Amino acid sequence: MQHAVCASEAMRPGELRAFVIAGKSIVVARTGDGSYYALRNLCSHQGAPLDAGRLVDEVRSERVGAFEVAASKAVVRCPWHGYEFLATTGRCLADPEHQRVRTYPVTIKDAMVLVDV
Amino acid sequence: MSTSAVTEKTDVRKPNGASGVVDVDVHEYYEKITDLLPYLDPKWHRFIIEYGWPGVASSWPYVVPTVGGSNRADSRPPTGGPPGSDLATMRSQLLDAHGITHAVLTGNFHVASMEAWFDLATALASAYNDWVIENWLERDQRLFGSVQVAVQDPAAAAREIDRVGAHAQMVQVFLPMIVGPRAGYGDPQYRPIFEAAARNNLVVGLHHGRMTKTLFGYPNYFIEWHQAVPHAGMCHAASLICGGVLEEFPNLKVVILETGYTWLAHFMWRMDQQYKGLRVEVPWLKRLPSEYMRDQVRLSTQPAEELNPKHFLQFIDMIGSEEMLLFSTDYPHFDFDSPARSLPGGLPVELKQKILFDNAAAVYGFERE
Repeated sequence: MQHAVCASEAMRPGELRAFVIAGKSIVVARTGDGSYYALRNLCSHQGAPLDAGRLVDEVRSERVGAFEVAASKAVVRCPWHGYEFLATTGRCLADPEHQRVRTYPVTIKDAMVLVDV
Repeated sequence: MSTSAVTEKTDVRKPNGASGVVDVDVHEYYEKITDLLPYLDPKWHRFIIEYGWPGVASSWPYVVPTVGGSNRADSRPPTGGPPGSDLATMRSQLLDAHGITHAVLTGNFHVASMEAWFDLATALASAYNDWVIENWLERDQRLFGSVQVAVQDPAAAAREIDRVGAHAQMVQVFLPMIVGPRAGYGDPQYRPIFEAAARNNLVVGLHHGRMTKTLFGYPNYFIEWHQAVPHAGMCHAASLICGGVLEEFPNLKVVILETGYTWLAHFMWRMDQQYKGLRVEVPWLKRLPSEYMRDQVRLSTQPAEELNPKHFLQFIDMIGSEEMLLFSTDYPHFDFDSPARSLPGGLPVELKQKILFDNAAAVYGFERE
Protein backbone atom coordinates (compact mmCIF):
# COMPACT_ATOMS: atom_id res chain seq x y z
CA MET A 1 0.00 0.00 0.00
CA GLN A 2 1.34 3.39 -0.98
CA HIS A 3 1.84 6.04 1.65
CA ALA A 4 2.48 9.71 0.91
CA VAL A 5 5.30 10.79 3.18
CA CYS A 6 6.24 14.30 2.06
CA ALA A 7 6.37 16.70 -0.86
CA SER A 8 9.03 15.73 -3.36
CA GLU A 9 10.83 19.03 -2.94
CA ALA A 10 10.71 18.86 0.84
CA MET A 11 13.90 16.81 1.00
CA ARG A 12 17.31 18.13 0.01
CA PRO A 13 19.55 16.17 -2.38
CA GLY A 14 21.68 13.85 -0.28
CA GLU A 15 19.22 13.82 2.59
CA LEU A 16 18.10 10.82 4.63
CA ARG A 17 14.84 11.28 6.50
CA ALA A 18 12.96 8.81 8.66
CA PHE A 19 9.19 8.28 8.54
CA VAL A 20 7.02 5.90 10.46
CA ILE A 21 4.87 4.08 7.93
CA ALA A 22 2.46 1.34 8.93
CA GLY A 23 4.23 1.10 12.24
CA LYS A 24 7.68 0.68 10.68
CA SER A 25 10.51 3.16 10.66
CA ILE A 26 11.45 3.72 7.02
CA VAL A 27 14.35 5.85 5.84
CA VAL A 28 13.79 7.76 2.62
CA ALA A 29 16.83 8.85 0.64
CA ARG A 30 16.98 11.57 -1.96
CA THR A 31 20.05 11.42 -4.16
CA GLY A 32 21.84 14.21 -5.95
CA ASP A 33 20.10 13.42 -9.24
CA GLY A 34 16.67 13.63 -7.63
CA SER A 35 16.01 9.90 -7.29
CA TYR A 36 14.29 8.56 -4.18
CA TYR A 37 14.81 5.30 -2.36
CA ALA A 38 13.30 3.82 0.77
CA LEU A 39 14.84 1.27 3.13
CA ARG A 40 13.99 -0.16 6.50
CA ASN A 41 15.50 2.28 8.97
CA LEU A 42 17.30 -0.43 10.85
CA CYS A 43 20.82 -1.58 10.07
CA SER A 44 20.86 -5.34 9.60
CA HIS A 45 24.05 -5.50 11.60
CA GLN A 46 23.22 -4.09 15.04
CA GLY A 47 20.03 -2.16 14.49
CA ALA A 48 21.33 1.38 14.15
CA PRO A 49 18.94 4.01 12.71
CA LEU A 50 20.18 4.48 9.16
CA ASP A 51 18.71 7.98 8.87
CA ALA A 52 21.49 9.11 11.24
CA GLY A 53 24.04 7.86 8.75
CA ARG A 54 24.95 9.34 5.40
CA LEU A 55 23.85 9.01 1.79
CA VAL A 56 27.00 8.69 -0.31
CA ASP A 57 28.17 7.57 -3.72
CA GLU A 58 29.62 4.09 -4.01
CA VAL A 59 33.41 3.96 -3.78
CA ARG A 60 34.91 1.22 -5.89
CA SER A 61 38.22 0.32 -7.44
CA GLU A 62 39.67 -1.95 -10.07
CA ARG A 63 43.26 -1.27 -9.11
CA VAL A 64 45.11 -1.17 -5.81
CA GLY A 65 45.50 2.41 -4.68
CA ALA A 66 42.84 3.76 -7.04
CA PHE A 67 39.47 5.09 -5.90
CA GLU A 68 36.50 5.65 -8.18
CA VAL A 69 33.32 7.31 -7.01
CA ALA A 70 30.23 6.09 -8.82
CA ALA A 71 27.72 8.91 -8.64
CA SER A 72 25.08 6.65 -10.16
CA LYS A 73 25.25 4.20 -7.24
CA ALA A 74 23.72 5.60 -4.09
CA VAL A 75 24.78 4.00 -0.83
CA VAL A 76 23.27 4.42 2.61
CA ARG A 77 26.04 4.24 5.19
CA CYS A 78 25.26 3.19 8.74
CA PRO A 79 26.01 5.79 11.42
CA TRP A 80 27.64 3.28 13.74
CA HIS A 81 30.04 0.81 12.12
CA GLY A 82 29.93 2.23 8.61
CA TYR A 83 28.21 -0.66 6.84
CA GLU A 84 27.24 0.35 3.30
CA PHE A 85 23.90 -0.62 1.80
CA LEU A 86 23.11 -0.11 -1.87
CA ALA A 87 20.03 2.08 -1.99
CA THR A 88 18.59 0.12 -4.90
CA THR A 89 18.83 -3.36 -3.38
CA GLY A 90 19.58 -2.88 0.30
CA ARG A 91 22.50 -5.28 0.00
CA CYS A 92 25.64 -4.65 1.97
CA LEU A 93 28.57 -3.94 -0.35
CA ALA A 94 31.06 -5.87 1.77
CA ASP A 95 28.87 -8.90 2.41
CA PRO A 96 25.95 -8.91 -0.02
CA GLU A 97 25.03 -12.53 0.64
CA HIS A 98 24.55 -12.18 4.37
CA GLN A 99 23.75 -8.56 5.10
CA ARG A 100 20.89 -6.59 3.61
CA VAL A 101 18.12 -4.28 4.69
CA ARG A 102 14.68 -4.38 3.19
CA THR A 103 13.89 -1.88 0.45
CA TYR A 104 10.52 -0.45 -0.57
CA PRO A 105 9.34 0.94 -3.90
CA VAL A 106 9.12 4.73 -4.14
CA THR A 107 7.17 6.71 -6.70
CA ILE A 108 6.63 10.42 -7.18
CA LYS A 109 3.05 11.39 -7.92
CA ASP A 110 1.57 14.84 -7.91
CA ALA A 111 4.81 16.17 -6.40
CA MET A 112 4.47 13.82 -3.46
CA VAL A 113 6.82 11.01 -2.38
CA LEU A 114 4.90 7.75 -2.13
CA VAL A 115 6.41 4.74 -0.36
CA ASP A 116 4.86 1.32 -0.93
CA VAL A 117 4.93 -0.62 2.34
CA MET B 1 76.90 -53.37 19.65
CA SER B 2 77.64 -50.11 17.93
CA THR B 3 75.07 -47.46 17.30
CA SER B 4 75.22 -44.45 15.12
CA ALA B 5 75.29 -41.16 16.92
CA VAL B 6 72.67 -39.88 14.56
CA THR B 7 70.09 -42.64 15.01
CA GLU B 8 66.67 -41.47 16.12
CA LYS B 9 66.21 -42.95 19.58
CA THR B 10 62.61 -42.17 20.23
CA ASP B 11 59.79 -44.61 19.67
CA VAL B 12 58.33 -43.22 16.48
CA ARG B 13 54.86 -44.30 15.49
CA LYS B 14 53.53 -44.36 11.96
CA PRO B 15 51.40 -41.29 11.33
CA ASN B 16 48.19 -43.25 11.10
CA GLY B 17 48.57 -44.58 7.62
CA ALA B 18 48.83 -41.29 5.76
CA SER B 19 50.08 -41.87 2.23
CA GLY B 20 53.11 -39.71 2.92
CA VAL B 21 54.14 -36.84 5.10
CA VAL B 22 55.01 -33.37 3.89
CA ASP B 23 57.04 -31.33 6.35
CA VAL B 24 56.80 -27.69 5.25
CA ASP B 25 59.33 -26.20 7.65
CA VAL B 26 62.78 -27.76 7.90
CA HIS B 27 65.78 -25.63 8.76
CA GLU B 28 68.98 -26.48 6.99
CA TYR B 29 72.10 -24.56 7.85
CA TYR B 30 75.69 -24.24 6.80
CA GLU B 31 78.56 -25.21 9.08
CA LYS B 32 80.32 -21.88 8.70
CA ILE B 33 79.91 -18.75 6.63
CA THR B 34 82.92 -19.68 4.51
CA ASP B 35 80.92 -22.63 3.13
CA LEU B 36 79.23 -20.04 0.93
CA LEU B 37 82.44 -18.68 -0.57
CA PRO B 38 82.49 -21.01 -3.59
CA TYR B 39 79.07 -19.65 -4.50
CA LEU B 40 79.68 -15.99 -3.61
CA ASP B 41 80.84 -13.38 -6.08
CA PRO B 42 84.62 -13.18 -5.47
CA LYS B 43 84.48 -9.43 -4.98
CA TRP B 44 83.00 -10.10 -1.55
CA HIS B 45 85.44 -12.77 -0.43
CA ARG B 46 87.98 -10.47 1.17
CA PHE B 47 85.34 -8.95 3.44
CA ILE B 48 84.83 -12.39 4.94
CA ILE B 49 88.32 -13.90 4.72
CA GLU B 50 90.53 -10.90 5.18
CA TYR B 51 88.39 -8.48 7.19
CA GLY B 52 86.51 -11.10 9.17
CA TRP B 53 82.86 -10.25 8.49
CA PRO B 54 81.23 -12.59 11.02
CA GLY B 55 77.89 -13.25 9.40
CA VAL B 56 74.49 -11.69 9.87
CA ALA B 57 74.03 -10.27 13.36
CA SER B 58 70.93 -9.09 15.16
CA SER B 59 70.14 -7.42 18.44
CA TRP B 60 67.97 -10.35 19.55
CA PRO B 61 68.72 -10.44 23.27
CA TYR B 62 67.74 -13.94 24.41
CA VAL B 63 69.02 -17.35 25.10
CA VAL B 64 66.50 -20.16 24.73
CA PRO B 65 66.40 -21.85 28.14
CA THR B 66 66.06 -25.45 27.01
CA VAL B 67 68.47 -28.39 27.09
CA GLY B 68 69.73 -27.65 23.60
CA GLY B 69 69.02 -23.95 23.31
CA SER B 70 67.29 -23.11 20.04
CA ASN B 71 67.67 -26.69 18.85
CA ARG B 72 66.83 -30.21 19.88
CA ALA B 73 69.60 -31.28 22.21
CA ASP B 74 70.10 -34.43 20.15
CA SER B 75 70.36 -32.65 16.81
CA ARG B 76 74.02 -31.66 16.75
CA PRO B 77 75.57 -33.83 14.03
CA PRO B 78 78.72 -35.93 14.43
CA THR B 79 80.39 -33.72 11.84
CA GLY B 80 80.71 -31.08 14.53
CA GLY B 81 78.69 -28.46 12.70
CA PRO B 82 75.58 -26.80 14.04
CA PRO B 83 72.20 -28.54 14.07
CA GLY B 84 70.70 -28.75 10.60
CA SER B 85 74.09 -28.65 8.87
CA ASP B 86 74.48 -32.32 7.99
CA LEU B 87 72.29 -34.12 5.47
CA ALA B 88 73.03 -37.58 6.87
CA THR B 89 71.83 -36.50 10.30
CA MET B 90 68.75 -34.90 8.83
CA ARG B 91 67.96 -38.06 6.93
CA SER B 92 68.40 -40.20 10.00
CA GLN B 93 66.63 -38.00 12.53
CA LEU B 94 63.89 -36.58 10.35
CA LEU B 95 63.28 -37.94 6.87
CA ASP B 96 63.77 -41.64 7.57
CA ALA B 97 62.75 -41.67 11.21
CA HIS B 98 59.44 -39.90 10.66
CA GLY B 99 58.53 -41.04 7.18
CA ILE B 100 58.86 -37.58 5.70
CA THR B 101 58.36 -38.00 1.97
CA HIS B 102 58.67 -34.31 1.11
CA ALA B 103 60.50 -31.68 3.14
CA VAL B 104 60.48 -27.99 2.32
CA LEU B 105 63.73 -26.39 3.41
CA THR B 106 63.33 -22.94 4.85
CA GLY B 107 66.86 -22.16 5.95
CA ASN B 108 68.18 -20.35 8.93
CA PHE B 109 69.57 -17.47 7.01
CA HIS B 110 68.55 -13.99 7.96
CA VAL B 111 70.06 -11.53 5.51
CA ALA B 112 66.85 -9.58 5.98
CA SER B 113 68.26 -8.58 9.38
CA MET B 114 70.87 -6.45 7.70
CA GLU B 115 69.84 -2.85 8.06
CA ALA B 116 72.39 -1.69 5.53
CA TRP B 117 74.85 -3.08 2.96
CA PHE B 118 72.00 -4.49 0.90
CA ASP B 119 74.18 -5.38 -2.06
CA LEU B 120 76.10 -7.80 0.15
CA ALA B 121 72.80 -9.16 1.48
CA THR B 122 71.66 -9.75 -2.09
CA ALA B 123 74.92 -11.46 -3.00
CA LEU B 124 74.74 -13.68 0.07
CA ALA B 125 71.19 -14.72 -0.74
CA SER B 126 72.30 -15.76 -4.23
CA ALA B 127 75.25 -17.68 -2.85
CA TYR B 128 73.05 -19.38 -0.31
CA ASN B 129 70.55 -20.48 -2.95
CA ASP B 130 73.26 -22.03 -5.10
CA TRP B 131 74.73 -23.71 -2.02
CA VAL B 132 71.33 -25.19 -1.12
CA ILE B 133 70.75 -26.47 -4.63
CA GLU B 134 74.12 -28.20 -4.83
CA ASN B 135 74.43 -29.47 -1.27
CA TRP B 136 70.87 -30.33 -0.39
CA LEU B 137 68.36 -30.43 -3.22
CA GLU B 138 70.58 -32.30 -5.63
CA ARG B 139 71.55 -34.82 -2.98
CA ASP B 140 68.09 -35.90 -1.88
CA GLN B 141 64.95 -35.86 -3.98
CA ARG B 142 62.80 -35.59 -0.86
CA LEU B 143 64.08 -32.08 -0.29
CA PHE B 144 62.56 -28.96 -1.79
CA GLY B 145 63.92 -25.45 -1.56
CA SER B 146 62.93 -21.93 -0.69
CA VAL B 147 64.47 -19.09 -2.64
CA GLN B 148 66.17 -16.81 -0.14
CA VAL B 149 66.12 -13.14 -1.04
CA ALA B 150 67.22 -9.84 0.42
CA VAL B 151 63.85 -8.16 0.77
CA GLN B 152 65.59 -4.85 1.40
CA ASP B 153 66.07 -4.61 -2.38
CA PRO B 154 62.85 -5.93 -3.94
CA ALA B 155 64.02 -5.50 -7.53
CA ALA B 156 67.15 -7.54 -6.85
CA ALA B 157 65.05 -10.07 -4.97
CA ALA B 158 62.83 -10.47 -8.02
CA ARG B 159 65.89 -11.04 -10.22
CA GLU B 160 67.08 -13.75 -7.82
CA ILE B 161 63.68 -15.44 -7.91
CA ASP B 162 63.84 -15.46 -11.70
CA ARG B 163 67.40 -16.79 -11.60
CA VAL B 164 66.79 -19.87 -9.47
CA GLY B 165 63.00 -20.18 -9.34
CA ALA B 166 62.84 -22.52 -12.29
CA HIS B 167 64.84 -25.24 -10.52
CA ALA B 168 62.57 -28.27 -10.31
CA GLN B 169 62.95 -28.54 -6.55
CA MET B 170 62.56 -24.84 -5.78
CA VAL B 171 58.97 -24.48 -4.66
CA GLN B 172 58.83 -21.34 -2.59
CA VAL B 173 60.06 -17.81 -2.00
CA PHE B 174 61.03 -17.28 1.61
CA LEU B 175 60.15 -13.94 3.19
CA PRO B 176 61.10 -13.14 6.77
CA MET B 177 58.33 -11.66 8.87
CA ILE B 178 59.92 -8.40 9.81
CA VAL B 179 57.71 -6.39 12.11
CA GLY B 180 58.93 -2.98 13.04
CA PRO B 181 61.11 -0.87 10.83
CA ARG B 182 59.66 -1.83 7.47
CA ALA B 183 56.17 -2.03 5.97
CA GLY B 184 54.15 -5.22 5.65
CA TYR B 185 54.45 -7.24 2.47
CA GLY B 186 51.26 -5.77 1.07
CA ASP B 187 53.11 -2.49 0.61
CA PRO B 188 53.64 -1.64 -3.08
CA GLN B 189 57.42 -1.59 -2.66
CA TYR B 190 57.37 -5.40 -2.43
CA ARG B 191 55.25 -6.03 -5.55
CA PRO B 192 58.25 -7.08 -7.67
CA ILE B 193 58.78 -10.00 -5.31
CA PHE B 194 55.20 -11.22 -5.64
CA GLU B 195 55.20 -10.68 -9.39
CA ALA B 196 58.31 -12.83 -9.63
CA ALA B 197 56.86 -15.52 -7.37
CA ALA B 198 53.70 -15.60 -9.46
CA ARG B 199 55.46 -15.83 -12.82
CA ASN B 200 57.64 -18.64 -11.49
CA ASN B 201 54.67 -20.49 -9.95
CA LEU B 202 56.25 -20.38 -6.53
CA VAL B 203 54.55 -20.36 -3.15
CA VAL B 204 55.45 -17.50 -0.83
CA GLY B 205 56.44 -18.66 2.65
CA LEU B 206 56.51 -16.26 5.59
CA HIS B 207 58.53 -17.09 8.68
CA HIS B 208 59.63 -15.14 11.72
CA GLY B 209 63.23 -14.67 12.69
CA ARG B 210 65.32 -12.80 15.15
CA MET B 211 64.42 -9.55 13.43
CA THR B 212 60.76 -10.12 14.29
CA LYS B 213 59.69 -7.86 17.10
CA THR B 214 56.57 -7.44 19.19
CA LEU B 215 54.58 -4.36 20.09
CA PHE B 216 57.12 -3.86 22.86
CA GLY B 217 60.05 -4.38 20.56
CA TYR B 218 61.90 -7.17 22.32
CA PRO B 219 60.05 -7.95 25.56
CA ASN B 220 61.87 -8.99 28.72
CA TYR B 221 61.67 -12.74 28.30
CA PHE B 222 62.08 -15.20 25.46
CA ILE B 223 58.78 -16.82 26.38
CA GLU B 224 57.02 -13.49 25.80
CA TRP B 225 58.72 -12.99 22.45
CA HIS B 226 58.05 -16.54 21.32
CA GLN B 227 54.36 -16.49 22.17
CA ALA B 228 53.97 -13.23 20.24
CA VAL B 229 55.19 -14.66 16.93
CA PRO B 230 51.59 -15.18 15.66
CA HIS B 231 51.13 -11.41 15.81
CA ALA B 232 53.67 -11.11 13.02
CA GLY B 233 51.69 -13.61 10.96
CA MET B 234 48.51 -11.65 11.55
CA CYS B 235 50.10 -8.33 10.62
CA HIS B 236 51.55 -9.65 7.38
CA ALA B 237 48.35 -11.53 6.48
CA ALA B 238 46.35 -8.34 6.98
CA SER B 239 48.89 -6.44 4.90
CA LEU B 240 48.73 -8.95 2.05
CA ILE B 241 44.94 -8.81 2.03
CA CYS B 242 44.49 -5.05 2.40
CA GLY B 243 47.40 -4.25 0.14
CA GLY B 244 45.63 -6.19 -2.60
CA VAL B 245 48.34 -8.81 -3.14
CA LEU B 246 45.93 -11.72 -2.84
CA GLU B 247 43.40 -9.97 -5.07
CA GLU B 248 46.04 -9.12 -7.65
CA PHE B 249 47.53 -12.62 -7.74
CA PRO B 250 44.56 -14.99 -7.36
CA ASN B 251 46.66 -18.09 -8.01
CA LEU B 252 49.29 -17.16 -5.43
CA LYS B 253 49.50 -19.31 -2.33
CA VAL B 254 50.99 -17.94 0.89
CA VAL B 255 52.12 -20.24 3.69
CA ILE B 256 52.61 -18.69 7.10
CA LEU B 257 55.12 -20.84 8.92
CA GLU B 258 55.71 -21.59 12.58
CA THR B 259 53.07 -19.36 14.07
CA GLY B 260 50.82 -22.16 15.31
CA TYR B 261 47.33 -22.01 13.93
CA THR B 262 44.71 -21.23 16.54
CA TRP B 263 44.89 -17.51 15.74
CA LEU B 264 43.30 -18.22 12.40
CA ALA B 265 39.68 -18.25 13.58
CA HIS B 266 40.12 -15.04 15.52
CA PHE B 267 41.91 -13.35 12.64
CA MET B 268 39.40 -14.26 9.96
CA TRP B 269 36.44 -13.25 12.10
CA ARG B 270 38.03 -9.97 13.04
CA MET B 271 39.18 -9.11 9.54
CA ASP B 272 35.69 -9.74 8.18
CA GLN B 273 34.17 -7.66 10.95
CA GLN B 274 36.51 -4.79 10.21
CA TYR B 275 36.06 -5.03 6.45
CA LYS B 276 32.27 -4.86 6.57
CA GLY B 277 32.41 -1.38 8.03
CA LEU B 278 35.66 -0.11 6.54
CA ARG B 279 35.49 -1.41 2.97
CA VAL B 280 35.72 2.12 1.56
CA GLU B 281 39.37 2.27 2.58
CA VAL B 282 40.29 -0.78 0.47
CA PRO B 283 37.67 -0.93 -2.30
CA TRP B 284 39.96 -2.99 -4.51
CA LEU B 285 39.05 -6.00 -2.40
CA LYS B 286 36.23 -8.00 -3.96
CA ARG B 287 35.64 -10.60 -1.31
CA LEU B 288 35.59 -10.97 2.43
CA PRO B 289 39.09 -11.25 3.92
CA SER B 290 38.24 -14.73 5.21
CA GLU B 291 37.53 -15.82 1.65
CA TYR B 292 40.97 -14.72 0.50
CA MET B 293 42.41 -16.56 3.47
CA ARG B 294 40.59 -19.82 2.75
CA ASP B 295 41.56 -19.75 -0.91
CA GLN B 296 45.13 -18.54 -0.75
CA VAL B 297 46.65 -18.67 2.73
CA ARG B 298 47.83 -21.75 4.59
CA LEU B 299 49.35 -22.17 8.04
CA SER B 300 51.89 -24.71 9.18
CA THR B 301 50.85 -26.58 12.28
CA GLN B 302 53.97 -26.18 14.40
CA PRO B 303 54.18 -25.36 17.21
CA ALA B 304 50.99 -27.38 17.63
CA GLU B 305 48.90 -25.76 20.30
CA GLU B 306 47.78 -29.10 21.67
CA LEU B 307 44.03 -28.85 21.41
CA ASN B 308 42.07 -31.87 22.48
CA PRO B 309 40.26 -33.68 19.64
CA LYS B 310 36.92 -32.08 20.40
CA HIS B 311 38.34 -28.58 20.37
CA PHE B 312 40.44 -29.28 17.29
CA LEU B 313 37.38 -30.34 15.31
CA GLN B 314 35.49 -27.31 16.58
CA PHE B 315 38.38 -25.16 15.42
CA ILE B 316 38.27 -26.72 11.94
CA ASP B 317 34.55 -25.98 11.87
CA MET B 318 35.19 -22.39 12.94
CA ILE B 319 37.66 -21.69 10.15
CA GLY B 320 35.35 -23.37 7.65
CA SER B 321 38.06 -25.34 5.90
CA GLU B 322 39.98 -28.61 6.19
CA GLU B 323 42.54 -27.37 3.68
CA MET B 324 44.30 -24.59 5.57
CA LEU B 325 46.67 -26.52 7.83
CA LEU B 326 49.96 -28.02 6.64
CA PHE B 327 52.02 -30.22 8.90
CA SER B 328 55.53 -29.12 9.87
CA THR B 329 58.19 -30.27 12.31
CA ASP B 330 60.50 -27.24 12.50
CA TYR B 331 63.45 -29.64 12.62
CA PRO B 332 65.99 -29.26 14.20
CA HIS B 333 64.58 -26.65 16.54
CA PHE B 334 63.77 -27.40 20.14
CA ASP B 335 60.00 -27.23 19.72
CA PHE B 336 60.02 -29.99 17.11
CA ASP B 337 56.62 -31.54 16.35
CA SER B 338 56.34 -35.23 15.55
CA PRO B 339 53.91 -36.19 12.77
CA ALA B 340 52.73 -39.09 14.91
CA ARG B 341 52.19 -37.16 18.09
CA SER B 342 51.52 -33.50 17.52
CA LEU B 343 48.00 -33.74 16.13
CA PRO B 344 45.20 -34.77 18.48
CA GLY B 345 44.50 -38.48 18.64
CA GLY B 346 41.32 -39.83 17.18
CA LEU B 347 40.94 -37.35 14.32
CA PRO B 348 39.16 -38.65 11.23
CA VAL B 349 41.67 -40.41 9.00
CA GLU B 350 40.70 -38.23 6.04
CA LEU B 351 41.41 -35.05 7.96
CA LYS B 352 44.75 -36.33 9.17
CA GLN B 353 45.66 -37.30 5.62
CA LYS B 354 44.90 -33.76 4.50
CA ILE B 355 46.99 -32.11 7.20
CA LEU B 356 49.92 -34.49 6.91
CA PHE B 357 50.04 -34.63 3.14
CA ASP B 358 47.24 -33.61 0.81
CA ASN B 359 46.96 -29.94 1.75
CA ALA B 360 50.67 -29.27 1.33
CA ALA B 361 50.83 -31.43 -1.79
CA ALA B 362 48.12 -29.29 -3.37
CA VAL B 363 49.94 -26.07 -2.50
CA TYR B 364 53.45 -27.16 -3.52
CA GLY B 365 52.49 -29.48 -6.37
CA PHE B 366 53.72 -32.71 -4.80
CA GLU B 367 52.42 -36.10 -5.86
CA ARG B 368 51.81 -39.11 -3.70
CA GLU B 369 54.52 -41.72 -3.64
